[in-house]
Amino acid sequence: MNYFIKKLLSGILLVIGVSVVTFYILRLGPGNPAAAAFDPNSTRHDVSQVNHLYGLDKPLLAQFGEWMKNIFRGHWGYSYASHRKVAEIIRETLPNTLILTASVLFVQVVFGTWLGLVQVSKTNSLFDKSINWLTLALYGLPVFWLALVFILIFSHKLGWLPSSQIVSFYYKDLSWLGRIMDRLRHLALPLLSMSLVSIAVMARYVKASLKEIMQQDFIVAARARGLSERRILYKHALRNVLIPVATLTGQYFPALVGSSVVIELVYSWPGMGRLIVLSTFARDYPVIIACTFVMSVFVVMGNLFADFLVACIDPRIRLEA
Amino acid sequence: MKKRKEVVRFTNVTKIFLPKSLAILRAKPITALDRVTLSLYENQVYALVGSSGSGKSTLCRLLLGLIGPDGGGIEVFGQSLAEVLKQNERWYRKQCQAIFQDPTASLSPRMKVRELLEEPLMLTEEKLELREKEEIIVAFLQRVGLPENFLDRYPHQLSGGEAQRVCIARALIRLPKLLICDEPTSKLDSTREQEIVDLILELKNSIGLTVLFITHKISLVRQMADAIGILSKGKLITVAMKDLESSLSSDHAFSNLSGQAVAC
Repeated sequence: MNYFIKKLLSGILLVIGVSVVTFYILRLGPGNPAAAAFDPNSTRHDVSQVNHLYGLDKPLLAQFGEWMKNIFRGHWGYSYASHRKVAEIIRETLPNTLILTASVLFVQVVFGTWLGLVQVSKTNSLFDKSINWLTLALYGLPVFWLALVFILIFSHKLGWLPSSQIVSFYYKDLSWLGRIMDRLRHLALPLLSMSLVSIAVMARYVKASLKEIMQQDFIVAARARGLSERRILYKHALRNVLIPVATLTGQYFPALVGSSVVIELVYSWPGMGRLIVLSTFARDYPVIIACTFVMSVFVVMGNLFADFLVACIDPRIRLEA
Repeated sequence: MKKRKEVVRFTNVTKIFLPKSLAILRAKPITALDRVTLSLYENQVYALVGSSGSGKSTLCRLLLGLIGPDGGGIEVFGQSLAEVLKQNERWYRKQCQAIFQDPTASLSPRMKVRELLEEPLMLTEEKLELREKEEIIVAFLQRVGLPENFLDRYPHQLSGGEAQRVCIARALIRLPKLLICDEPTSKLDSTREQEIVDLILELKNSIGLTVLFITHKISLVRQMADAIGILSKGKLITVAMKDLESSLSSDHAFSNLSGQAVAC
């Protein structure tokens, strides 16, 4: 239990640290929200009035203290750009980001593990070598480039899948099955763009871990006892490879959240990643800080969940914990 | 005098390993075993002694059928090992079991003792009821001197001696005729070592096991062996028990073995 309490405390410290850094970095940048909101002909008086209204004329420390106090009270402030409640905007965009990242995580774990497993069971075969080259090539590809290529092929050339938004404009007229299909069709390209690289990372990691496990004494002992290669791989090796898989998933989660920013922008996916980028252009401080805060909370929670999963899988860690 | 049945016969067995970097470094092939000839008889403990890298584990892997020889022939229970593995591998795996030097590492870390002992029973031809399986598992656990409550323990919750006892129980649960012990006491302290040696000797006498015992320690050879083989740089010299002391003191093969490898 101490293990998880320590992890939770370090997670809370991380969230506070991220918030502090984001808060100060935003203020270090050129320009301010008031200037961004007005046209170039507005007077200095107009700008200072708006600055006063938003509390931006106060010292930085006082601004941060006030923001922190309000966050814990549940007052997340108003967007400078849309004048809507920040909490409301987050409530709208967060589920979309979660749908995307959770789908990518699921696909990454299932297909990445499966690919690595099949590669090891067919070591040195044509399949193994082909997948090796393919994953190596995917490993080095930038996600945004893949996203643009997929839009070009599947959306513009073939016309199979939509290239933007989360649902079609005629979504409300569809039956429940049609609605599900419509959501899946919109999810397909962002998911494919993000998960291909993730699958490659996972497959290579699983293969390397499995190859190491297959050399261990308990596997040699299992072979000597006459267990089939299939049973050795699935019953003995796979059980043990799930530990590094869970660890990698936890470590990879922040990278996934990071790449979701790019993908959401390319596919106009109304999630938090896109919101952060648009808010940054608009100098919408309350939204940017709130988004960063929520994302860092999710990264910490993801890591905690991965630790919990490892503890569930590995009895050695479970008992120590 | 009744002649004992031959269980294992190695005839001029050679095993060569090619280093992977052969082309780049022009490394020479390594001859792990060089025309090794040996015989193991029923209910015999054959002690195989040698320094690290002398080919002991290679011989063990050859006998287990995990690797094949590059020359010569191996016979088990009167038949060619290659043929047996091709035609009746299941039967051979039942007859020949092994225990390894690191007991904790040779037990799957995520399996409880119950699962570890249950698994070999799944390989038997006869279908066993759950209750029957449990009875057999408990009986074998008790046979190696461990109480029933160890069934729910994981390998990391066992001491080295306890883990090796579980390995022995797992090896014996299918009632093999040949037991290969690859330095089974090298990771144990002297008290646990003696316990394991006593257990193997007791099982050998009670169930008529043939044992190939690979070790570094001459004290164990003196205590256990009916026949002794000394492996040095891939070559095997068979020494009779009565000649062991003279071999030790002479300039014979033992002198080639490093002092640290052959501890007395």
